[in-house]
Amino acid sequence: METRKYLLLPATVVLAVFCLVAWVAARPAVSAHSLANAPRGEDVAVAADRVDALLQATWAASSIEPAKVTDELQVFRRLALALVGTAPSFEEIRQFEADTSPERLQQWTARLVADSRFVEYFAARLGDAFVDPVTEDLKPHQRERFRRWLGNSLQQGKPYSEIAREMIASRGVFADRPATTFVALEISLGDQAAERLAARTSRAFLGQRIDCAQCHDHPFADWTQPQFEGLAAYYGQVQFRSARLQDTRPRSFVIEDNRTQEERTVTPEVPFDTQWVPDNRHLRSELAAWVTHPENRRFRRAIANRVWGLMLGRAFVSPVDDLPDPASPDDPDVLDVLADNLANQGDDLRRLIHVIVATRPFSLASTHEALDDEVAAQQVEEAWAVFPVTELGPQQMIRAMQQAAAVSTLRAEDSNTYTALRRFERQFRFVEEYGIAGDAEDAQASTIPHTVQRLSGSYTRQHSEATLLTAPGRIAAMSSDAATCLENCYLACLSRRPTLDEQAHFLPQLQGNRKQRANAVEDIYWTLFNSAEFCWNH
Amino acid sequence: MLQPPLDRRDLLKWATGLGMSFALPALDVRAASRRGDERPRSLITLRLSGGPSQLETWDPHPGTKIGGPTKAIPTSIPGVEIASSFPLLADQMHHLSVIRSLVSKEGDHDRATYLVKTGFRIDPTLRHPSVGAIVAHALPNDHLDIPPVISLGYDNRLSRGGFLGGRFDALRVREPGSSDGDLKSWIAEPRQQRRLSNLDVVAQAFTRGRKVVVDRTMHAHNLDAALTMMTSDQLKAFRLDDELESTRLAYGDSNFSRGCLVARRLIEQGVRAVEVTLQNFDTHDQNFTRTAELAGTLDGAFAALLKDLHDRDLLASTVVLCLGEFGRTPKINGADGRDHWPHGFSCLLGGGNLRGGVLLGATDPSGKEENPADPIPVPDLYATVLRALGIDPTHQINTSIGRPIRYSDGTSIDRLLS
Repeated sequence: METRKYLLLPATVVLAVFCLVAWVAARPAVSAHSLANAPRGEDVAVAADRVDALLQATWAASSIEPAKVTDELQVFRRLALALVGTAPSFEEIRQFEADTSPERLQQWTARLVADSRFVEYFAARLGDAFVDPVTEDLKPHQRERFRRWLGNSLQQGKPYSEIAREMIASRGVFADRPATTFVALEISLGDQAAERLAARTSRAFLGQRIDCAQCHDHPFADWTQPQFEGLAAYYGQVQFRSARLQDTRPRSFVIEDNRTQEERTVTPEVPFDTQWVPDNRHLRSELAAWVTHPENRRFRRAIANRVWGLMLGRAFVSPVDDLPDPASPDDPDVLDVLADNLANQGDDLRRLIHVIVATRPFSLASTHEALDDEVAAQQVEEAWAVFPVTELGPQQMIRAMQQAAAVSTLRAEDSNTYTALRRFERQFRFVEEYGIAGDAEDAQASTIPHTVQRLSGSYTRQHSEATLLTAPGRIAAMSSDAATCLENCYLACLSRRPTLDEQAHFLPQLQGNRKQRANAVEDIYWTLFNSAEFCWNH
Repeated sequence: MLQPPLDRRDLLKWATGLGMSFALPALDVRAASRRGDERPRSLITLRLSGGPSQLETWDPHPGTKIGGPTKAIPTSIPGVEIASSFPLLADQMHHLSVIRSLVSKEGDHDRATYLVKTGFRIDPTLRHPSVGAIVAHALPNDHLDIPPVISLGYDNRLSRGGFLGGRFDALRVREPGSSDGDLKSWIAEPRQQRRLSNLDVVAQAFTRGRKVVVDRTMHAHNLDAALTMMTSDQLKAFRLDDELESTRLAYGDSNFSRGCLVARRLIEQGVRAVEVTLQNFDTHDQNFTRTAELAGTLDGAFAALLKDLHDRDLLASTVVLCLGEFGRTPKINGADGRDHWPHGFSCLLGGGNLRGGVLLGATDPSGKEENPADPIPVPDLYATVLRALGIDPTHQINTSIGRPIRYSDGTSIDRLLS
């Protein structure tokens, strides 16, 4: 009897642990949305053709001749910059060039979307729409957790509507449920959290700046102050206590007028199409269902516009969060075509990316004879008849420098922890120094201090140094002759080969002994890092 | 005191009259050497980052429950006392006015810092320019090779140009007076020349077929400007080796005090806005010892800066502002610290068109009343600072989508202006 008593407790513990392990193991590591619904080529082509047909009609109507199609290596560079936030590695360029499949761009798109760098870069940029990219109230590891959740969800093909619903309506422990970051961050900042959340919800998910109506009716669109306040009331009862996000009982929400400081009681109400609101005991779930409702065209138009912006450097309609009202369903525009296709394909953003890559503008050259004249240039640019030249974001800039300084592809899982951490730390510092704009109206462009930093700063120096371990060092030491050496530098930095003029200029510099050649390679790397061609996506 | 037989202005008149103007220094050098209120104006902000306790700085309440062990001393403004850890500044206070009733709604570092840097609350659709950027925008200086807005010390929230553009972003030098940062090329001259000629060749290839677009990137313009700056004589303002030993000693031997001295040298070059950051005022614990330690750094440097600006006749053309993003609670917490408090915190300001010796606002010595007497919202402070620099705060600028925004939404406080 006594022995049995002593055994009972350990046995229970062992059994409990066993059950727990079995339960955890039984849960699928990848959620139900598997990689199986990766896009089929034909559907993608059909959707892209519809976009192209609309654009072609515009070009024909204004007698615009679109730019020529650029060579695929340049398209590959754009693809890598957009999806993994760096120019392709020397290794990837070799693999891409060796790939003779006619569908190689599409295959590489799928490959880069599945890459761990897609979570690091693309998910982070998309995440900036939902969680303020600048605030220091979110600690780096918290931001990282949110980004990883978003990136993994995208990679697993979780429908965007579900991702949005989780962000708007999730409850629970903040550290446990990264989706709660969207709401928890604003709530933890206190004062006017509901108003800020209403503003962010409408801008991030609907592409509408309804928040102008916080103080007055929107100057151009139809938003009114009561509409804004009704939306804010949906967040009126959220609380963030002991690191948990929860809702108290629905109660009336009191709002303070920004101008008159008067207090008013407001009941939750969506600004339009109230019939989409289901009857749910949880207010935020009601709001989430309304935002993501299959007929809410603003929701999918907004994400289509945002992803277009991430892929081509400039949103289809700018500003990205102030879209015009959807056109009539009989007369769809480009955003409607992309949005409808997304809805028909399970809201899978991977698919949206594939469609955008397959559209004509993505492969057009960024050169055009109209770009010699200010007025003509504006016309072809607005009509998407030429690929836009846009400045690399600071994350792209530093990652592209780091990648150019390495021969093989830089992935966190392929480096030792120390090297990977050091790389991230440098990225973090560089970005912090450079500053990020997010969605805000901000005439951010490369500045003189930025230029000084590139000309003489430590980042350029470190990444152009020719040592045994760096790409410049190995290119200098191992290239068979001066011409190959120059070509390798160009491929590593600019993803192209040097022109004849460039060869004539640089080859004499690469003559001489080993030391002189190493110096010359450092100088070429420095030159390429400081060129507009490196700093701007084209 | 004997008057010198000829002062600089007289010499200028004589030289011009004698047709000897060719022998005079270039115009920009003359502008930089002008003194008094004829000189173009500048703003120096001493930023106390983390939120300094008003009770341990400019608004002590000794002998009360909320006052803690902090003592007060009289200053050169009759009737105005400040914390006893600022004895040197106390003697210079007549140059300054005191506000003890700043109020804001931002009790979070990020949001409050945004407010005190720009004069506006965070608006997710818009990035406002820093006040320094606004001053630089309103008072352009074509003779400057270095950026018009400069941030010295460890400021982890860089002041930006916002919708005015990246050219008004602050240039950050973390260790002024002891390192040039990245301002000089690390490569020997002949190689640097080769690199620059290389750049022209690569630029040609990229410009072909996209001239308008490449011009718009300003890439070439920024390169030229950056190179001008890297070789400019004005960079000597960042070095202190030609300052007198006695001057350096007066400012003190800390990163912050060297920043204050460099700030004076920068405005002599015509830089429009310099901020010098002193960190670590976020004293949730050990408030009294920590603030006293920081006071040791701030006191000497601030006093020396005021005296130096005054002696060089630069104070009439330079507004000096010293503030943090908020104050700290009257209640002392269990860790002998004070927490965030945006309801009635203090700042010091003087120079330019500002009056000295004015005291505005008062907080409740018992700490029971949250709201101070004569509350002054942060935007009003900035409208006043702009006026003191001769800038109209109601001037409107259009953002990139044509939204009109004023330099400041505040109302200037006439009692502070002369």
